[in-house]
Amino acid sequence: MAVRVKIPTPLRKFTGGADIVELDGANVGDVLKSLDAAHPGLMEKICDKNGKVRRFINVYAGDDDIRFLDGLETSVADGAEISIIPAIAGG
Amino acid sequence: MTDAASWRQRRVAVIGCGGLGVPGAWTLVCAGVERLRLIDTDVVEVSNLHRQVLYNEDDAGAIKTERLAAQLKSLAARLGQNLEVETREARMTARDAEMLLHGCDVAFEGTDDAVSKFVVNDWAIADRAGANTRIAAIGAAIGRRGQWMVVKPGGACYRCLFEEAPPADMLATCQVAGVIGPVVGQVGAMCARSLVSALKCEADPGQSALIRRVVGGFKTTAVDVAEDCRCARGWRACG
Repeated sequence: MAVRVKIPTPLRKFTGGADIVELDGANVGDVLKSLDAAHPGLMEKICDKNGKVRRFINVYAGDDDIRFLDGLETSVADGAEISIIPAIAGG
Repeated sequence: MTDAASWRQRRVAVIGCGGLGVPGAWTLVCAGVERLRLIDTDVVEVSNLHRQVLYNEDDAGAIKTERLAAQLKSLAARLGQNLEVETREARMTARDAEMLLHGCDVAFEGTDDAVSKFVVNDWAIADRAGANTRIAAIGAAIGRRGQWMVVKPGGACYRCLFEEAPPADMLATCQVAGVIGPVVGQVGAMCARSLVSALKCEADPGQSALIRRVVGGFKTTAVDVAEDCRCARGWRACG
């Protein structure tokens, strides 16, 4: 199932500058694994060594924070959009 | 303090007098806030002018807090409103937060410093076991994106959402990602508008929720109090 993943600016160096990548996966965790396979090194920026999403990042499936859904087990449909949102600072 | 006269009298600290702080402070004054404290260490630079619209070319090199105070007082006079403005040429740190914010119980955080956002959040929740009146609006904008959240008594705090500040290599900076004047202006103004609603005890999507400005619109995500968050544990700052 093709899922669109929106990449935040600090992580685009891993995707060759791409702000959106399309990957396969039945749930958010699978999609992130696909993301890391396609763009090595990116996963360790998103998740810690225990596989949990890092504390300063929120991952959204559509408009919903996955922490309030099923976490990395959150299912994603074909055509869904996953956003990786770190805390930002700027102004 | 919710009646028409009293909410205007609450002293609001505006931390950061740049791209978010300028439209934010302008919005607060236009809404009727009568007491401000402006906190920043910066001077005006020509590169700021596209988004820090209350400064002009003649202000290059001037201390931002002083120039913004003058502009806001002029604005208030034209509107026929009372306005008292204090200035502090200082950087917000955990060590100095209580001192810098003494006498305020409302804060608008609009710096480009991720750590400052958590410091102001922690200040806002530090009195939940006491007077429990503090409110903080925390905003940020980079590129075409922005986000803001109002932390108020009884609701979630910034750490319920982002538990800690990102490391430096995970932070996009204005120098790298760019900053677009109309975007940061919109986020600063709307963040301040959410803060005014909180002062007036009116409903607003930005209260205890994260509003994200994305390409094409806004997205709102309600934030629940995290059980293991310091705001749920009656945490108090030390020192």
